[in-house]
Amino acid sequence: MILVLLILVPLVTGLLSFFIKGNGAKGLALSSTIITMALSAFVSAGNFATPMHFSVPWIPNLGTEFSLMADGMSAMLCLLTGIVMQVVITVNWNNETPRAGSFYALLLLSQAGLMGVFLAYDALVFYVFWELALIPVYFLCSMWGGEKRIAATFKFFIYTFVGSLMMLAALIYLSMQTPGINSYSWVNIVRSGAALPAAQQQWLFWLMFIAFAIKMPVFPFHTWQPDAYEQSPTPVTIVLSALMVKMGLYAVLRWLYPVLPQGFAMWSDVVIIMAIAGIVYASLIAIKQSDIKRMIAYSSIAHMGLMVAAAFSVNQIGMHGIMVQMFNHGINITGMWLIVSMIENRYGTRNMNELGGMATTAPRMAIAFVIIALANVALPLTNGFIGEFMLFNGLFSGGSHYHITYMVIAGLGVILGAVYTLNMLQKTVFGNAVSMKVTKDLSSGEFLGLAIIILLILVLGVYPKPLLDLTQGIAATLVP
Amino acid sequence: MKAIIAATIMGIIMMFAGIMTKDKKSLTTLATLLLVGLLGVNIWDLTVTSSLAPQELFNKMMTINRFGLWFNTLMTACTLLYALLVAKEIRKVGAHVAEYFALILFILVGVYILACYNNMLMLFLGIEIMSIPQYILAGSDKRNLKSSEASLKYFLMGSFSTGILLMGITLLYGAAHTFNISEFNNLQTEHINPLAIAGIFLLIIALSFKVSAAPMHMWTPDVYDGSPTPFTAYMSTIVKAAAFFAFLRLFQGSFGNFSSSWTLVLAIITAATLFIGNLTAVFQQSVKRMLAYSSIAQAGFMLFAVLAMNKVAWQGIIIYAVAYSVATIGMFSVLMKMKDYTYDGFNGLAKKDPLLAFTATIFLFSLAGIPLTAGFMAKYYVLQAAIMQGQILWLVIFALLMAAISVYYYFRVIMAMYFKEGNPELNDDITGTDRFLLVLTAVLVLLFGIFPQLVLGNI
Amino acid sequence: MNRIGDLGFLVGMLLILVNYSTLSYTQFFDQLHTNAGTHGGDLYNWIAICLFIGATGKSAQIPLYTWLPDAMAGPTPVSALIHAATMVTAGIYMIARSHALYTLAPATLQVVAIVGLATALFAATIAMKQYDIKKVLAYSTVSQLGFMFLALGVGAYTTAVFHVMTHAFFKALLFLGSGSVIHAMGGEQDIRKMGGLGKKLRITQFTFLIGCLAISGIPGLSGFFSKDEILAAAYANNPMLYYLGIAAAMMTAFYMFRLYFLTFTGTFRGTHDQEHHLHESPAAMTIPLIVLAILSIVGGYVGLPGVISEHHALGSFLSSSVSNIAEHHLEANTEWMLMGTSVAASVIMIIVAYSINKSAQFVANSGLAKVLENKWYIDELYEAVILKPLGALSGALDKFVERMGIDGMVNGVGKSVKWGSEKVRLLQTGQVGFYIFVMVLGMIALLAVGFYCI
Repeated sequence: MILVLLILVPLVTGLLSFFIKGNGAKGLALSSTIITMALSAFVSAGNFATPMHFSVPWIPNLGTEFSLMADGMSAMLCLLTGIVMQVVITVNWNNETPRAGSFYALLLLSQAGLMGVFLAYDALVFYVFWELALIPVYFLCSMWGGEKRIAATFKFFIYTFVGSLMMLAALIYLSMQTPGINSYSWVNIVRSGAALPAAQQQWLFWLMFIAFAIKMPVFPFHTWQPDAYEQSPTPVTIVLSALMVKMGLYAVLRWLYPVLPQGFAMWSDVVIIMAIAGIVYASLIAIKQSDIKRMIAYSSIAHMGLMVAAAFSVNQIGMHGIMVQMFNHGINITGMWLIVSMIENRYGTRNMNELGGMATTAPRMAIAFVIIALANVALPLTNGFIGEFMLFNGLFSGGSHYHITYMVIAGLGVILGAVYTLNMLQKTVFGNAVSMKVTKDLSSGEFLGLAIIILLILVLGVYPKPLLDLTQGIAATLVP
Repeated sequence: MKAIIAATIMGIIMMFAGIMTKDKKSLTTLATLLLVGLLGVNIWDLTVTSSLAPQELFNKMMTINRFGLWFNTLMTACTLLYALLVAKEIRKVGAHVAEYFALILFILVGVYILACYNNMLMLFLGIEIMSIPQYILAGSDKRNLKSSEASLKYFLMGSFSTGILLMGITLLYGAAHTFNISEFNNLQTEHINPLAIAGIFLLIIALSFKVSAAPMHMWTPDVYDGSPTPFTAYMSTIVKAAAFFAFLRLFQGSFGNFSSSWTLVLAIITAATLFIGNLTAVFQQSVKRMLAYSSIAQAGFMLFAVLAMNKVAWQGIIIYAVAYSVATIGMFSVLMKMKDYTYDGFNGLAKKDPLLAFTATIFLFSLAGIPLTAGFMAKYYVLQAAIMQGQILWLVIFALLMAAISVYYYFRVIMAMYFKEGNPELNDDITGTDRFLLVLTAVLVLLFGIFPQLVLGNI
Repeated sequence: MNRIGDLGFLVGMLLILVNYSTLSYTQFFDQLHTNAGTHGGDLYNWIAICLFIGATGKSAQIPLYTWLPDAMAGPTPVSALIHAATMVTAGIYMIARSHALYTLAPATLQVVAIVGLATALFAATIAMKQYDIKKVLAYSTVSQLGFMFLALGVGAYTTAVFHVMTHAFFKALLFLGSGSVIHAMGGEQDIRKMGGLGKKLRITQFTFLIGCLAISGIPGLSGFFSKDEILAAAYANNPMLYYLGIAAAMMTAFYMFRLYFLTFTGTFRGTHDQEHHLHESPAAMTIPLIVLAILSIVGGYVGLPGVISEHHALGSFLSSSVSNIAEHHLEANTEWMLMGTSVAASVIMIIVAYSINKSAQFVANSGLAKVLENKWYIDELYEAVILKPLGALSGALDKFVERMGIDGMVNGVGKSVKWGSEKVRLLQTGQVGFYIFVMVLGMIALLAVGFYCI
């Protein structure tokens, strides 16, 4: 029952919010996200030896039910969604958003869609929520975004849509292998997929993986991302980059790996190469970016590349690392984007070369910036390190012949990551305050939001056990 | 059967009513009431007929089964919805309101015949009864030259295709020595009579014309664009759906055994239709013309149901017919409230009239195939049917790519409404009833999208 | 730079993890003892090299040393702490800790020794021609670290740790002393502008002198004992190492005393303002200097060489964790000779330094001196070979591959759809005759295809 609430609360409050003006909408959104976050925390605290289920018949003659399931991984991602949304709204509290009612409504609707994706236990339900998570984001970007937003967002939408359609074809095909009342349930899809001969699994794999590869994104399907991130309003960028990319990775772990194991194994080398090429490529490009948003966008491609590579070197510690890192990356990148939006609001520019001296003009923000940026570079004592170490371990222990090469090249990406991150820090935080207007340091809402993030970064960096335990079970089931 | 008679009589009543009064409003009210009555007759028919024994009438020329009756009921319901939504516009077309509605009722007669035919001659009859009133309706705007041009083109090309239809029927008769389609199944499959094959091909071509499949689609843009918009809405939805139903009935019911012969040709036609329909729609500057081309693209999807030989295909056609009709009628009715039919005419509609923009968005989502709308379910069923058939997966992938293209031109309208600034001009007579009806239609679209079982009823 | 080292370290760690399923020190070393030989020499060498790369980054050896002099821009107490004593010695500590592994990887030990020696020499050459106090001390640190690695490389683990200890004392002393000088000079760090500071800064001068003597290995002070142990071990391993080590030690003496003479003796070369400003630092600064000076003197007595006393206090203290392997048994004579040679060499260099820098003429350097002044242009080399191409690669990737290539393809799809749309649209001519013609063409084509495929 709680599982449905996780979807319903944001859905209903979102729809309501369309009709409420201004501050009322903000308040509604805040309370809604607090409730959702509490619910998701409650779910995550449960014992997942037996996962939580919810199921209601939907369209029997198609073989689909509306069924939800929460195990450790889903619960963690729901928790992440709850936390991130909460932080987004808190930090955005003092900003003037035109048409606030619709803005918050769309944010809440996208949260409902995301929850649905992470909880869906039926393939058609999964597909429906996958698409539905996209639509509010599309509107959000196009109505509140930057100057060139329309073209960038539309490209993003169609690109993702094409991928999802391919996935739909594959899902229909899979469900048709065992027709019946439950043909779309996860259990059934797994069974029918695993029973397929290797030749069929090969191309089915690509049909499904295209959708996920575009979503995450994996090089070379990534070109929609920098433009979309750059043009979208920062709260939406946070949703896109902290949450929606996790949809793709989650789908790989939940809907691709168990379903098409042979196809997975056949193509894993290719995908790892794509992912690692993406890490190095994106890190290289990030070095030359002067717009902070684009730089972080490229760095996100690099982070996801590492996770994808670890996913495809099939081993338990890698899988475990992915889940841990999904959560941590979500938190860290949210922190980065929050700082970027604060910089943008205060200084009016995102160009690194025009900024500088934040340490003197806004010291608290500067400190937060440094901590979050270092977490992104996976400094030990931050949560980023835990995840990244496990990922490297996973990559290294993979079965492929070239596992050492993969690891070394991926490591290069890490080095480059330090290069551009520290470069950015140096330019913006240190150095002379060139043409900086005197601006305020953190406001209370911003402080609160950032405090949550930094707390999580440090606590999980030093004592990651709760997170590890939450996801251990799933990692063990996936790769015994 | 009763419905056919009822519809004919009602049509005649309308014509007489036209003589008795010139008051447009009362005429439309009468028409609406008659349609309600017609719906009642259909439901009566449905309850009376048992599901086990289809009735056979007129020496087996017509077979009435639940499936056909259910389709009839749905089409009548759609026509009723249409009449409610569009009545105002029909009144604006010209003076002969009674005749217009009479013709619509006669078209319905043709639709009913096509749902129940068992004989090639009845097929011919049904198609003609359906088409000829359309020729007249297309040209009913006497003040507009384009309307007359549309009517003439439609008539010429329609007659041409009817000729082909008759030729095909003749060849089939030569091969099978009977007109009854249920007996075509008995034809030999090993050494297929070339007469039969030629006949089948010609039938495919003639029916493709009716549903505006490529390369027989070229009349569609001109005719749909030139006709008065209310009648375009009717032509592109109900009529097309009925033609598809006839197509499906013929090919799945009768030519199923020779599917290996004609599947390739039909697949090529489907691919060409999807391609040309979607591609040309991209460039259009007028929303009305875009909807015309998009109807070609949607026809491509419906052809999948004919290609796939299974039960899901039947369900798919019904759902697609309803979903597509409701969404398109809704979209057209929104369109008719605007003065400017181009994309730029929609700029900024969301600010000026949020309800209108919102319902239009729902309709467009349905046409594009976004989940939770009826259009998605429709595409889904059709795709499932095709995938189950197993041999046309390449076509499915192609269709999905084309569907992505379709998103582009549907979303252009949404983008203009929400993301661009402008001051759209509305026809200033939008009443509360209109809004209520639009919302109702949008709710139907969403309802069928979440619970498609409602449309399938208990077949 | 540190990150690059970290990457190597990470690879090493993962190699250990994968092959031994543990990262804990005790378990790993135990397994090494019991399974020595099962894995084959190559694995040990790989692990050792990877860990060493990490140490190279952290402890500023060639080629990852350039960060250390640049980091001198930080406040002096920070430099004293990090760069003298604590952070940079992490690498030494790690290798000493892992001596069980390194013993099994002799090839790596060779590499360690050579890298350490090369670094010691290289950094010393640069230090000879630097004009910033802190830079001299920075390169001196690099050089001394090189000595420590040399010690590790020849298997003298305890000795390396010993030198860590003594170096901490006198290097911190030197740094704080230079801080005192800079404070007195009002922020000036260029030694060409100093001179004759000894008159006003007595305590600083005295303690600084002790530090210089210690680092030069003058007997009686701590540096002598540790450095001498290193050189002795080097000699036992390979005399060549010893000779080069002596050369480095000589240079050490030279540049340190050059620094001392130029700063504290002679006439003042700064501005009038600075001269007025000169004063001894407050007690808060001078007391630590005195403490460290005392430590620099007595700290060496925990490790007396074998010829003087059998009892090596430090060695016993550490023997439970680490011990020098290959106890090189040099003859007593050899040891005395070695000690004597090194002391004599240092003293000679001190005198040389005095005489050269007495006159304190500064002319623009040319030739080799110029190269040394510019640190062998290594920074410029790194910039040209690594940084600039990296930036260019990044820019090129962004422009060509990303925008024109991949994104171009994606946009190209959109563009071609639009183009196709325009062209296909032209088919709708509006003429019925043409339409029917197309229909007939289509019919014929379809019939042909249909019949052909039966």
